[in-house]
Amino acid sequence: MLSQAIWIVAVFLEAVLVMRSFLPGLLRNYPYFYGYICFVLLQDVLRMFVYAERPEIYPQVYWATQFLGLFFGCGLLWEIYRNALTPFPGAKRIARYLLGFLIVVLLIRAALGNGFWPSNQAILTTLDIERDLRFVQTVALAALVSVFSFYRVSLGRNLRSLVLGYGIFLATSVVNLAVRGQIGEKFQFAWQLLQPSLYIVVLIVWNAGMWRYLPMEAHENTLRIVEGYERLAYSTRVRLGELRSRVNRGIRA
Amino acid sequence: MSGAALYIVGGLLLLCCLLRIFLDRDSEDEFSNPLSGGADLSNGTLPDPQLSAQLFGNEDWKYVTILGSKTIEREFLRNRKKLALSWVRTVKAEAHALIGAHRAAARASADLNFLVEIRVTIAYASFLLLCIVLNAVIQIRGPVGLQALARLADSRSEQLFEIVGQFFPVALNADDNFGGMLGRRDHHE
Repeated sequence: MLSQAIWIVAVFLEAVLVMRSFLPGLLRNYPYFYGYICFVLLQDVLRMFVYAERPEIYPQVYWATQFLGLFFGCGLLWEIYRNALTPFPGAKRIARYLLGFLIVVLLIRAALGNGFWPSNQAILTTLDIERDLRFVQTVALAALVSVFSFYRVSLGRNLRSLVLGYGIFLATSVVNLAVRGQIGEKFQFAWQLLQPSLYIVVLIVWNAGMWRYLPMEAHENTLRIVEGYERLAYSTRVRLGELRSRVNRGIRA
Repeated sequence: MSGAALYIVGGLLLLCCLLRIFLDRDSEDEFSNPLSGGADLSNGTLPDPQLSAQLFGNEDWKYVTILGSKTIEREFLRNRKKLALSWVRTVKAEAHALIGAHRAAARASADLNFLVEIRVTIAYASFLLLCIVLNAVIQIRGPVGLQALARLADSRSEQLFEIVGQFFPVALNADDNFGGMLGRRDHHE
């Protein structure tokens, strides 16, 4: 009963997001996000229908749609990367290097066979695959968020809610899936409630942040910063010469 | 359990990153314009090395011990410790302002060099580590006689400035007053 109530609330919140996407600016600037939300909304309605009418095929429908959702999630990550870093080519370049490095590390780990998948496990369960793909997304988003934090990239209200919502979703999914994989059926009941409840939190964050379109404001400031920094860099080098001579004098004294 | 631990750590790491970016939101403007800060520190006022030599040297201490008063010695050490800790804070704040200015420019630079960025980050991290050590040693031992360590901190700071300077070589007009900073330089000379 409780899980069905959560389900209905989730569908309602997703429907609100989809309806508000037609407000000026939202759909145009965040097409992948709204594509993802539309997909999740359709997926939930389909699952509800199958659950009620054909419960015997529910697991197949669940996992098939779950994997499609993973690919839509990649689009969402791309949108976060593109929207946040396009005004900052330097930070974008660092993010690209960092993501490339992470992909190489993950591929090497997988190739060596001591990574995610134990070598004695011939067939992977669908849960394992979902957990691993979510983990890759988690690491990628953590790298992106680190770049935002390091370079103080101002995200704006819309993008901030996207990052926060999807971050909570990925982090809790990975932890839940890992614990579920480890503990097994004993965790199933808690998992069935925990995962959708956390998803409601994510939807609330998205609804609050994406209520209306708010443009990012960093572009003009950035141009001023570049000009200012060149001056600062020059004067820093001048001061460096002074510092050197003063340190030398201090040491000799 | 080690397999699950990797995923749990990954999830927690992402949550920590999110917390950091959302708790740090208020300071987003901290280096949005590094030249416009009202405080001297954000404009890059390097502490005078002569000051560090005096603070961490033992000339003053020798003079105080000649006086032979335990009360004065205690008071001297207490005040000197406060001053030394304040000096460390100033140096750290200076490096922080510099690295902030660097990041503010680097994030928008199309010519950014990844390896230089790594070098800057390592130089900054090692400088901060040194400041932490210096801070701990001052707390435990007091500042007198720490001249060598203080000099090392100065040279780390110098290294940081050098790397940043290499990254953004600029040629400006001679009559440029560099956002009012040359005036301060003349004052030092």
